[in-house]
Amino acid sequence: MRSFEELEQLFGKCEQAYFVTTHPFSEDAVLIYGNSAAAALTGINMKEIAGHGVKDLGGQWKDKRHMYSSVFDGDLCLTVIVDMAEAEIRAEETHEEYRRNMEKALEAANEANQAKTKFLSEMSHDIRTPMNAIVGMTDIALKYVEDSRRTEDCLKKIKIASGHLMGLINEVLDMSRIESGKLTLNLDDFRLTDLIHSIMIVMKPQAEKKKILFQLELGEILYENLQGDAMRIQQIYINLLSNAVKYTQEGGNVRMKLHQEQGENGMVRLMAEVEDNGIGMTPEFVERIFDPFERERNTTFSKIEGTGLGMSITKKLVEMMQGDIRVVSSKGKGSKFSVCLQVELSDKGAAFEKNALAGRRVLVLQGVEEELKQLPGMLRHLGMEVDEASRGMEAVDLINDADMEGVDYFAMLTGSMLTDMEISLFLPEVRARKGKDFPILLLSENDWSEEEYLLKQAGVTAFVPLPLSESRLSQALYACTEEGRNSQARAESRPERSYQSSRILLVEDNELNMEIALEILGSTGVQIDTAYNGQEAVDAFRSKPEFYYKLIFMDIQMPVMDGLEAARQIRAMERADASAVTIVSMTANAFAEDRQRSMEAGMNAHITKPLDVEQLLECLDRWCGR
Amino acid sequence: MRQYQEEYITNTKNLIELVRHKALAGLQKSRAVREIRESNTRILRENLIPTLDDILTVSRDDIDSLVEFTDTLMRLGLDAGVRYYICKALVSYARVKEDRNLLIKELYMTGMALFGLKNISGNSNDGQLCWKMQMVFGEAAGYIRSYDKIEDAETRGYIHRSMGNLALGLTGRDSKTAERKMEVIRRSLQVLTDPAYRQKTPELPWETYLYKQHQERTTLMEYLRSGEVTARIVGEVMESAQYVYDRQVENAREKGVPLEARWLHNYYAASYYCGVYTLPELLHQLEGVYASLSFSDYSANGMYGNIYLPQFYSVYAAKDAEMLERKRPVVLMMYRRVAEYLKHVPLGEDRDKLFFYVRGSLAAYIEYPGDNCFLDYVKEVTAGRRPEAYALSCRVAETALRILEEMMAEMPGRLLGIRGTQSIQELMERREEIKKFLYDCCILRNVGKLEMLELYEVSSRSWLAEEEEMHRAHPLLGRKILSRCDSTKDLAPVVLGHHRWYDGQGGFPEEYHREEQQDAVLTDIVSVADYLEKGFGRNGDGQAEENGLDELLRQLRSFSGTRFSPYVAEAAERCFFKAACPKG
Repeated sequence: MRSFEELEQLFGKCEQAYFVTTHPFSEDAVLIYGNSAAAALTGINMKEIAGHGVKDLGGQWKDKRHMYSSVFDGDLCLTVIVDMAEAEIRAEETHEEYRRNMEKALEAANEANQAKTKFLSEMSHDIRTPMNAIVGMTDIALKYVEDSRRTEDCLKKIKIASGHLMGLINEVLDMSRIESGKLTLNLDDFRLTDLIHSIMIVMKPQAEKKKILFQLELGEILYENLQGDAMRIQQIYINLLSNAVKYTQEGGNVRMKLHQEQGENGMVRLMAEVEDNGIGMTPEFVERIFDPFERERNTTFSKIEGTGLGMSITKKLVEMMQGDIRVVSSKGKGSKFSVCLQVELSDKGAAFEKNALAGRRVLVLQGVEEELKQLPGMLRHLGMEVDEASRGMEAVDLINDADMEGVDYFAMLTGSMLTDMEISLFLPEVRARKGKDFPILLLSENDWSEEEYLLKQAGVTAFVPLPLSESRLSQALYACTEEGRNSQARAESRPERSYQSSRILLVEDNELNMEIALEILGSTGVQIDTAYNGQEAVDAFRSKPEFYYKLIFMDIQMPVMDGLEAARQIRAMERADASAVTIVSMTANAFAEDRQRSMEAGMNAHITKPLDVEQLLECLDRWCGR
Repeated sequence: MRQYQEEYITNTKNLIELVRHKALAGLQKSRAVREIRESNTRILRENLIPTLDDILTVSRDDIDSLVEFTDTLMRLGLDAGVRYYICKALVSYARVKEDRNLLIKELYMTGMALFGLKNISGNSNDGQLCWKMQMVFGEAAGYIRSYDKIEDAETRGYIHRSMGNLALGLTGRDSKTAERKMEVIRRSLQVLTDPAYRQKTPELPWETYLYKQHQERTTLMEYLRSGEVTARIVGEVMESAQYVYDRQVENAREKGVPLEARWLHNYYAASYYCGVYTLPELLHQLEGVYASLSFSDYSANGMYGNIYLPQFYSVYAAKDAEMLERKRPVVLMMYRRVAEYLKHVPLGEDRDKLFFYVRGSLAAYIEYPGDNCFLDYVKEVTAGRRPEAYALSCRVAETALRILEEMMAEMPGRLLGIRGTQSIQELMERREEIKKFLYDCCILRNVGKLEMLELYEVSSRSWLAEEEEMHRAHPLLGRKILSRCDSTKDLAPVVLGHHRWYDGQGGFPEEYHREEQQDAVLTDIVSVADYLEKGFGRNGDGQAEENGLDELLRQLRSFSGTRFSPYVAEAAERCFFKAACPKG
């Protein structure tokens, strides 16, 4: 039999009254133990009742009470006394709480539903607006198809509207995929400076358009070669920056600070702050800012474009990168978002580049860019010999001296703005004098694509984007060495475009897309068969002799049979070319996991829609060229 | 040479003769000049430009003819602009055809053409032309590394000349440029004095090269007292000055003539800068040189001594305020003589040198308040050296005064603020003073052109892009000239703005901001008066078209509010067109 202490340990603190008696619990049963709740119920000191009968407890305490008994320790009986009145109160309380919770849940559901309804309503409008423009402009273009200026104007407007529409749809799809857990992150190598440069290219024009001073402050960057989903990281930063620009009045400031911290297990933390002196947010809105479909409206910025999903997507993406996002904001003063992202280090090194560059002499023409001040130091760190000119005229002197003294420069690196001469007039002279193979590298934070044609005409060999990084610099310089040129040539070597003897199968259910692809591919002379769904493609492949097709361009979403299934069936055929034929999927779907599915279905490669001339021709070069 | 090339050269020579010809004046001269310019422009357009367009495929005969053409132009000191374009094309040809000798020669020739353009431009576009010069001379000089592989002596000569000429593009007035120039000359002299090179090409004129190089080094003397130079540099400059002086003494002795003023001046100045002479000693020596010259000597030496030397003298005197004051009578006497001398220099004399010395005199003039006035001097120079242009300026001034009178009568409120006037009454009280100011503005609006006289007077064809660019710099050069002295500095903003549009959206230079100027309305008046006078077809430059009155009125109206102030245009219309062409 258990001791009093043991029983006290078991039941001593229970709120309900417990009795341990001989079995069964009746008037005749002998009391062995009663807990403090039982003592309170009966008014008897339980330490003294052991050995007494149940009948000694009297009968009043039994009113409005239920007794539940069960066998205890083999031959004893454990009885719990339940106060019905109290139980009823408790049940009511529980019910009330439950009801309140239910109401809250309902309210939340209703709110969410309302938000979704509101969102759908606004989205419908937001989608309809650019769609209307697209449809309307298309009608006009068709009506005035002979008037090339008017048609061009319509097409430009259609392009703008399409871009806006695409942005809306992408956000909705992103959110949907995040919520259903289908979004996965890519793990690719990327350079941090490239990523920053891309962000600058997107953000600078936006800021300039609103006359906002946009500053990027780079703190300590420990590693430049990283691994992660660069596209999504960019998406996070651009979302924050776009909002900052959007909600800051003309002439305001937007500043992005970025630095790295050493993480654990070979990870590095990307710490970013995006700060503006814009309209700020109310504390209430700050609470809800990361909720989907939320966007604050106010009188100053009554027309806000967007789905209200951007911040929610941003938070989800940050969380997927084991990161954290915080916001502090003050109404009328501005906001500051702090983001921490965890990314992995890439093991790609630049040692071989460094070796190839060591000992070579370069001419550095500083220009006005402040950032170029670090350039000579970086070059010397790469083992290079550096002659510096702060003005164009000094560069001329150095070139003259080098020529007369028998020094050969390996390359010239120059900023894009000089204090004493116009760079686009100076570089052609250098190019003419030093010959076509002399590398002239231009360092600039401007969008290279905008200036590429003119600057290449002016003699620039290659472009190094700012902000400056040693690895980016060494890569660009290495590409100018004989070794680098050879490896680049190998990488870029394209067989002569001669496809007349090649046959390809183009599988696409959309007439317009088919027409575009035929237009692009047709110009190369390649022989093209077409199929409008997966089944037709499988049939076409089966009906032709082995190795008839060199390449199949396969749409993914098609009626009758989709592209994935068609690829699987082709690969499963028992014929020599079933595994050899190249199948390239064509889809606008850029999600990593879908690409993976394509590969699993037997596709060799993936190109994105809208179809791009270069992409298609590159495929032909790679798989059909001779 | 091709026939068109000979014809072009003949036309150019004729034009220069015409410009110097006293018998033809005004409109007659202007028309004759224009005919030659049109003829030469046509010759180039029909013959030269197509050849340059196809330079890589033309025959070797064509190439040879172009080489001969530029050689001749250079020998005659003609047309640096056309030479530049041809030489540039020949450089491209030589690069592609890998004709090393031709490349070296044409790089040198391109450099010389650029040097010619630089001289014409009045240093208005120094930077652009200088770095290009450095590039081409530098590239040619770089072939010193391949000296032994080049057998042609003439080509070797171009390498040496290019090495030496690298100093020509180093014109900056800072010590860094001076150091660089010393370095370049030092390297060139090292080669020129190396017996190995002389042995390899004995036929080259080594002594001439050496002399030119020393001569160039003496131009650095003004840096010597800056305190930043080393004893080595001081010694080198003095060595060069001594070298040049000795050669000149020798030369004068051989010819039995006195030593030229410039060499004496250079030698004395070098002695001063190197610390041999004190300032009073230098001034004393220069007074001696000046006194030895004839006032009626219009040779290059005479012009140097009579026009240029006084400017140097005053600049040296100004190095010490007390000295400047002590030498006041001497400086003033020299200035009076310069003005007088300029009135007497025959038109046909060495115009290049004259232009150069006149330019120098404008840049260094020193005013003694109450005694001499730069405004008077510069007006005299303008009248003396560009009589046709001066006459046009007088007409512009008369036109401007009529407009001003009209505005004072009909819209005086629009003039309030000019010359600091604060009321209509003050405006009226100061009427004569304001009129005089406006008159001077008109007379001197093109004073900057004095820095580029060759561009305006002896250009024998339509301007090239580079020359048009030079022309657009004349208001800036004008401002620079006038800003230096108290008597002219108030005129500078008006002169700067007279080609800039009223609405700031056109014209030149961009440095003029109408809204910042007290006398903006006067600038507006000069601008309209200038336009109208050119429209009346009496431009001394011979570059403007003649327009009918109807057309002129139409243009005046169409430019009202954009190019021209609407109020000034309205006043001008009332003055000049009211009777003939009623509005509407």
